[in-house]
Amino acid sequence: MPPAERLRPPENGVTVRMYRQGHGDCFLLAFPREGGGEPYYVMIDCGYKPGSQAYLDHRKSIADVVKHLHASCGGHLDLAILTHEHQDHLNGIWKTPKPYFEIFEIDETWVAWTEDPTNDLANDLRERHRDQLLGLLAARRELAVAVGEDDVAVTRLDSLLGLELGAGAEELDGDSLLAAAEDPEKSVNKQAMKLIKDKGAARKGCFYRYPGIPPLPLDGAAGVRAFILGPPENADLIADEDPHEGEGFPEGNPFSLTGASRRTPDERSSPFRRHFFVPLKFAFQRGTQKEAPFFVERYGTKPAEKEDVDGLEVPDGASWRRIDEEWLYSAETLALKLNTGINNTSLVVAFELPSSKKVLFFAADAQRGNWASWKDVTFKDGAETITAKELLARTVLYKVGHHGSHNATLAGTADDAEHPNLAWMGQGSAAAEFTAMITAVTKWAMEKNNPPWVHPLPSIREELHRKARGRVFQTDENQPVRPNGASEGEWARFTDRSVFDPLYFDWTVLDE
Amino acid sequence: MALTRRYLEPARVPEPVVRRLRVFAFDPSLATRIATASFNEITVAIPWEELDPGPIGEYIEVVDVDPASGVFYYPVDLDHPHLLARDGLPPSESNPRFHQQMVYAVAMTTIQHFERALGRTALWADRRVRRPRGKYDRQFVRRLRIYPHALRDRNAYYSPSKKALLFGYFPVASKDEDNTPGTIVFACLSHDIIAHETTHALLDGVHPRFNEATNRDVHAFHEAFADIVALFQHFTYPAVLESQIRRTRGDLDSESLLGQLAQQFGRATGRGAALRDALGSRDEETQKWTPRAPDPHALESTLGAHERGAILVAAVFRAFLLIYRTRTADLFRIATQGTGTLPEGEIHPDLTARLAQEAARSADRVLQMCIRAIDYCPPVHITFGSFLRGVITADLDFSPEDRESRIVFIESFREWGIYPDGISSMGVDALAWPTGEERIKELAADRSDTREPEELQGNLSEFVRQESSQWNLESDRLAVWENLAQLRGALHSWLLSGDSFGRDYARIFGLEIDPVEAPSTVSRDQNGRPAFEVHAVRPTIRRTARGMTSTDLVIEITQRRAGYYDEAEQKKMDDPARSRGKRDRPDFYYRAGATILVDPTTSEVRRVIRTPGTIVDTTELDQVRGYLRSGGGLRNAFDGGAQSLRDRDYGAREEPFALLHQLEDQL
Repeated sequence: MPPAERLRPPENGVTVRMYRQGHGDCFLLAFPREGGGEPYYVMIDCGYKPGSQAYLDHRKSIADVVKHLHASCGGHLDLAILTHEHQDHLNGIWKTPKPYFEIFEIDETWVAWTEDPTNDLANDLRERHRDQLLGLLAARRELAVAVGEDDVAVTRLDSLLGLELGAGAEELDGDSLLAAAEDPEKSVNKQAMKLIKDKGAARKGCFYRYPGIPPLPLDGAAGVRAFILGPPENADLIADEDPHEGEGFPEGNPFSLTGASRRTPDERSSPFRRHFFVPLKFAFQRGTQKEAPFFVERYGTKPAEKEDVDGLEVPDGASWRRIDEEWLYSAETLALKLNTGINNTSLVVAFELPSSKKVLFFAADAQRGNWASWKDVTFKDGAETITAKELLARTVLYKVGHHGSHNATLAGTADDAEHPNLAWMGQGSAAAEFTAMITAVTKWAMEKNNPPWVHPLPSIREELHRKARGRVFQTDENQPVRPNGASEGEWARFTDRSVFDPLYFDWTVLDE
Repeated sequence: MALTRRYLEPARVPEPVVRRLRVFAFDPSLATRIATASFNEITVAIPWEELDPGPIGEYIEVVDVDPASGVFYYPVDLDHPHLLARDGLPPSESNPRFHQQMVYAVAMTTIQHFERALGRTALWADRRVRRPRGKYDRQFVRRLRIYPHALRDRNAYYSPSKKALLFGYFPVASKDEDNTPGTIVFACLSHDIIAHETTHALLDGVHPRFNEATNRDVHAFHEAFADIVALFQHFTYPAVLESQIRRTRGDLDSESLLGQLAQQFGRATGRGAALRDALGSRDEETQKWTPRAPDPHALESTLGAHERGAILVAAVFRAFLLIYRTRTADLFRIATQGTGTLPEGEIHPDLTARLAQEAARSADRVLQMCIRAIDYCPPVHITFGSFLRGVITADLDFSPEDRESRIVFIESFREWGIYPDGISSMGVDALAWPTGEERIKELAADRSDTREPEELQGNLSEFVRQESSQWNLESDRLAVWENLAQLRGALHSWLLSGDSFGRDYARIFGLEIDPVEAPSTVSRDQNGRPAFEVHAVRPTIRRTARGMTSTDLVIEITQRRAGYYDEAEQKKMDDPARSRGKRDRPDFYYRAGATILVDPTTSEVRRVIRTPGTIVDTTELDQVRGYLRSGGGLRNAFDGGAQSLRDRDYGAREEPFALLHQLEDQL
């Protein structure tokens, strides 16, 4: 691969590069530098779901992508933004022992307020997250012992837990999860976060961003301002189910799933008083049997292969009706909630160009909860107040939330003032230019996940294509197709400002 | 001496008719709120049966294992004289034996509603045992298993593979206003959750393939139907309504009263938000509850299964309110002496009792109408519209004299924009499924070679007489099951027998058995003829207008066709020239068929309820493909394993990267 050239913006505007590294996000933005010189570079996330890259034509590894990124920005990032702590946004940053991003110079780092060590709510949320993760990893281990490492329930769980941990660039396996379980702080996600935070902190700083703070001028990119819309400061977002440490139980509530899975079977307890139950290990013993043959007769102990399957009627105590592992399967539901919670901690950033006031809107993986909160976000700009709705109306580029999944782009109407939705975007003069970027490898998402991940959801994809009149970049589609309704002239205005490379897409917005 | 002994000799005591058991009417969190405490404990009466510890009866076996805690709970013995003498154990959260009693009592109540509505003993879905060479055998499942403490999750579900209900429990998180942090909530103590899950199991027993999602309504229907049963079963307890009616002085604004109650149930089942949207809401400022007016366009923009389901619940609920209002109008006239204004102060206790009674009766009427409808639905591909047709047709057959309830249903469904495709009007006549005779006439208008109804009937009657002479519906359920299994086989061979009668019937029922007409993707038997599955035959007893009982046979027949996501591939595979050798696994199956009601005494085909298209119908196949490709239907409607109650709670789920909840597609 020849060394990449620097990404250069127009004199007046911005060029956005969307890397096609796999199912995940990696963006490089180039703005003209104030007073001339090399462009001002912003990177937003760098990660992908392992395995998804194999479905793309370029056949490049994440190492190659990072190398390309490094050359494109001259190894120097003015600003690095990490939206949230998920594998598909971070694992291109870290690998042991030599992190991919070790060689980058980073002036400034932005992360969401949920990373802020001085914020009590943030600390609380992180603590809870860690607690739950430990419980889930323990449940996963137990489930794997019971049903086997290759069981689909285990692989499904691994995929969800992998998002939380990073677990390396290679396909996930039990070993890497186990290693992570022993010390979640050593997970790829945590280390990647730390590396980029430390790099920024060593120069201009690592900043924890809160929604609704006054517009942030980019220090070096003339007049460009950033607006922070999310995540909201609201604990409900990271909705989890179990009480956690600090509520009286050192290892989680003993009657919750994660509380139980973190204890050995002998240490687990029932929520009922002792005289109501007999422990399983005694229930099938001889003495107990005489006392209560019920358990042997009704629940049964016979292995499946010794059962009578020829009768007209299902036998009592049939093996296929037992539920010994069933409770562990709930770990998947919990893991999903954990994922959603973290998705909703996404840092949502809108960049505003100085003279045309056009907006580039990066929604990261924000889902419903994060979206809903934008209705109350306003920005003090001197004497004026700018609402999120106004910013969305000026949006010419929408980085589609969470791979285009079902509740990460909301439907609605432009005049609905209460529910932020897609129709709010690209109003007025912005409509003619409105363009969307979907970071999804659909075939991988559908084939390698069980149940399949519908990324993007067809109805969302269709609506985006309709709204943007075909101007939709998607990781796994080499070039968007001109829709029937678009004239050649209109289409050319889009393609002339785009680069369709197997490894990335570039799209340029002029500030006019 | 002898005299005394004679007096002491135990008199022959007949079996009791019912067993009375105490249960929570609402979930226990409401028991500790003063407003609801007074009526939270109710006593239900269920048909008497002798019970083994568990309880284990004829329909239900409660096996209380708690694998997450590593324990078995000792089973309750409801036949113990001490428990018999006081209507079972008193409601208690901390006694697992009461939990066992409660799941048994509520599940049996639901079963009883089904048996009464459908006029037959309830059977659970068969266990299918895989045999060598890809064959399947069916085994009889006598009892539904119930595990009251199976999971540590905000969850409860029916497992079709285990023929079991699994209930979870979980500690309350700190933020819940109605609960104390750290205390434990048991799903098995919610009347509505038990009724909801039992309904899923009963429905699975009625329709083996009913839950295959081939359109947007399938999942939504399953959830809504289970909610409807739970909700109206709840309203059939007069005690629940009485205190509310008293408290609000029988406020004529009954929508507010009952709507709020409905929401309490919604909250308990975790479907509060969706129901709230569909039924109405409390104004945050004025605290006044306002019902939501029916919106005929709501369905068009509502795609999520739970939200769509809530609209169906709302439509049925509205029908209930209209029935209730009509039935109590006279009471209010009497009580107000025609002025319509009640005097100040409390209303008369007699009036309270009467109003509650009428509400309970109206609820029972609605419940029966809805349950009966499931025998009048197509065997696959249910839509809200075909459910409405089912409700109307069943009601015409069961209660021909009560026109009002049917009109009210139609009105309410129309106001909510629920109507079947391809009917000419929303009148009762147009909505009722056609009779066999009507179908024959319809066909005769198209083709000349169809026989006269009388001729066809003669042929059918011979068959039915032979086959139905020796069944006994009162005998052991296994014997009933065996009988029905035999009948299934006999019917299959009769239809297949190849004579022209069979062909005519196939046409009436909308089946395609002509090897040339059918595309090659249609499943075939060993002889290369298009195959069909008689997947259910069941009797249903109803009372005719003249007060006689009549037994109908409900027969479900389906055909299967291989479907491919790629239309070009579909075309290739449909081509008759394609060799019929080894087949690739198709992307999906398209099914079509009919539910047929036959009166064995007269051999009349009473109703023919077909799926929208036949198996050859390409337009229908395209629609199913379109739906499946849009990401719907990847999961089976019962597959609640991963749907926690909390998820249901969010009007639209807060979920996920992964698709456990991908049914809730927005936009």
